[in-house]
Amino acid sequence: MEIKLKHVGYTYSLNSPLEFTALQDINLAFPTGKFTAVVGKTGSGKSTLIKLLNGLELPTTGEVTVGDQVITNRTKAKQLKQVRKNVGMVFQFPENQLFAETVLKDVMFGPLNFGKSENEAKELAEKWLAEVGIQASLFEQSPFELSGGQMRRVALAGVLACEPEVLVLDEPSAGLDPAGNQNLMQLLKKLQTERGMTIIMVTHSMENVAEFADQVLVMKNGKVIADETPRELFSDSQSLVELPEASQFYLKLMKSRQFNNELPITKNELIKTLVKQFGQKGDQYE
Amino acid sequence: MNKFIFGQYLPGTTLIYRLNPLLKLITAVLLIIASFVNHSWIGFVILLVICGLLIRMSKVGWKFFLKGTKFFIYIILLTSIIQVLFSKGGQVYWHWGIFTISSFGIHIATLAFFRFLIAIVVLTIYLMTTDPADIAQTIQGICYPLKFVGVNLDDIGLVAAIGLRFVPTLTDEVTNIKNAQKARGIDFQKQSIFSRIKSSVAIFVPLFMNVFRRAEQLASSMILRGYTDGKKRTHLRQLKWSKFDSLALIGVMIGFCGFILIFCI
Amino acid sequence: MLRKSKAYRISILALFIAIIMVQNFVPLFGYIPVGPLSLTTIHITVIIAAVMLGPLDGGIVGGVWGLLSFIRAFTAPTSPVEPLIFTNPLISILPRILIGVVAGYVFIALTKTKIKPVLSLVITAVVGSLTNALLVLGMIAIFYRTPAVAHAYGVSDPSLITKVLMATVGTNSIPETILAAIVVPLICLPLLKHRQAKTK
Repeated sequence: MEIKLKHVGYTYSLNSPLEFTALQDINLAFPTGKFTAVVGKTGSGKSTLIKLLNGLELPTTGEVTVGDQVITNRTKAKQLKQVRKNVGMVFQFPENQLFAETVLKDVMFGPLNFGKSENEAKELAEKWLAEVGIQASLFEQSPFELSGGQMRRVALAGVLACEPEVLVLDEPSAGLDPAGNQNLMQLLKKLQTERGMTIIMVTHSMENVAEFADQVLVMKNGKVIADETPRELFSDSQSLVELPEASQFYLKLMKSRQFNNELPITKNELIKTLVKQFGQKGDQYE
Repeated sequence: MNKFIFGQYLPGTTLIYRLNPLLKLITAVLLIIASFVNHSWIGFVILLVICGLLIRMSKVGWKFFLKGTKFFIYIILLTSIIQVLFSKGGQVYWHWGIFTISSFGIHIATLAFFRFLIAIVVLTIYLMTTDPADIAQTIQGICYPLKFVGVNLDDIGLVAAIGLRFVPTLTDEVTNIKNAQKARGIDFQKQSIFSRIKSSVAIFVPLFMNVFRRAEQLASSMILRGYTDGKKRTHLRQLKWSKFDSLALIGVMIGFCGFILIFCI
Repeated sequence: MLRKSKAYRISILALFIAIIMVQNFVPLFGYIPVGPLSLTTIHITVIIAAVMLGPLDGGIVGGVWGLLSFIRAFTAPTSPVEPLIFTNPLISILPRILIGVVAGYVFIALTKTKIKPVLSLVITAVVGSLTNALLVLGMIAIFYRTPAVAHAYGVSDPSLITKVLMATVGTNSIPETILAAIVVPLICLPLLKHRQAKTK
């Protein structure tokens, strides 16, 4: 399912002394089945942008198209329900949205709201809990008795159980340890490649962008200043963002030397490049 | 986004911002008392003119002010209509079933409307032009007499300050939780009582869970930064009571007494 | 040990008061308009405070709500009956303090019996909500039936307006009680469990 934005602008507290323009004339498309990362400093408009994608905020000007539904500032609340079903949204620290007595009931909440029967909802909940790696023995526990990482996975299952075609995430790995981050990102990649889901993720981690995203948007002061592949973005000489650690490492290493191979952006690429460049010599020392 | 400006502080630098917050509070309370004991139409005209001047002085703009208070004015109008319909006395103009429109009903309803209107305007201006931290300190000041019955004032001040400090944080948190549940298909527009109860559960439980966790963090950081029981606190901000404030207070008092003498006795 | 420190008590009390303020000022959160009625959810906060912090702090949190609804009735009413009822501090403040105090003591008493925690919490929630409803109704009856007082409030036909007010408050209190009975156990059970685990 494709999402398109045409001349979208968003202003908070319109016509008041607190008026603040968060987004200006945004034109872009999130193509079906792609993994798009959205990066930018705090206050650049990322969070506002993603709230427009499932109708939590309506654009002040312009229009947002989700599949065949058009959202403008005149769209009624009733029409948004289908959009919210199609576009799943995982907020920052999603574990804060857990409320039901048991893990299973919490995950069933979304499907039930979107009109599934009790049995269907239960099936969906069990399926997605398993998918995110929650053991069946935890299903009947209170979500508040789980660890932080488990709670986040339950919250994620709660959104996935609504079976959205597009998944939007706001800094999903904030506060997770490196292993937790890697697990989560691999799960997202799997959802994209195996189930054809469209993934849109706000993040600060350039390593995640380099390793997992197909496309990256850079936002600054309410505008999109770059919309390209991670490789294009990081290879750009007038760099708009901080480079991933692998690239930084390589550049430092090559400081005084010219190189004409591609700049490595992930850890694996870095290792491969280094082996290629220094490998043969290294053999001699063995 | 937020239609209600009630209780929202808008930073500014006009004269009204620079007055002592206690003085402002006293003035606000006196104005409200004056409007409630007043029975004459000229009195209301004077009070409404004062309100108008205060709005002008605050420099927030008429349109914005009206937009923010519209909802409450509308509610007050409904209250007045109820009073008109359910009171009897004087000349009866219209009568149907349990409803009556009488001269007495119209009279008290109009009085009530103006009284509440003035109260709404005065308090909105006070909250819009006073820094919440100053309000907290004023509350502590008002509680001063409690010291003599053994209440620890510093604690009250601390509770008020932390409480006010967390109002915007918790407001954001409520919005975030609401958004997250909306994304899971909750429909806050639904009118039925049952679905409203259901949707409030989904907001309340996460909110309280977070609040208890936050309290633990807050308490640890207080202890780590040297908060110990029963120690006298010093204040970073000292509210200054200037000569101008004294003059203004005297002026307000004289005005209030004069008003009461002329219009209420 | 943290939960026994004064710093914790001050923090949690302040946060509860902040919730009460948020509920008073954020539209559609503390007061949910349903037709001409306006249901409140604030008594839930007071009851939870009473259960978790005891009768004294429950009373303080209730008192803050009372004070705010007293001020609100003059300055920012959410329903047309508010200015008629809650401008009287005996109706707006006193019952709210008592919600906290009564709920606090009821819960302490129930924990000494063999009743299951869930049930004790439901009973506490119902008793707390009803304390509010009955006191407000009682106070309205006393104040508006007394001709002198009624006149001071601009009511010339006490019996009629009393009926209207009582009907409104009565209708409100039923869904409000149900809401409290559902939400209070949901929130307090995990918290109480958590606390027990820590003190052991």
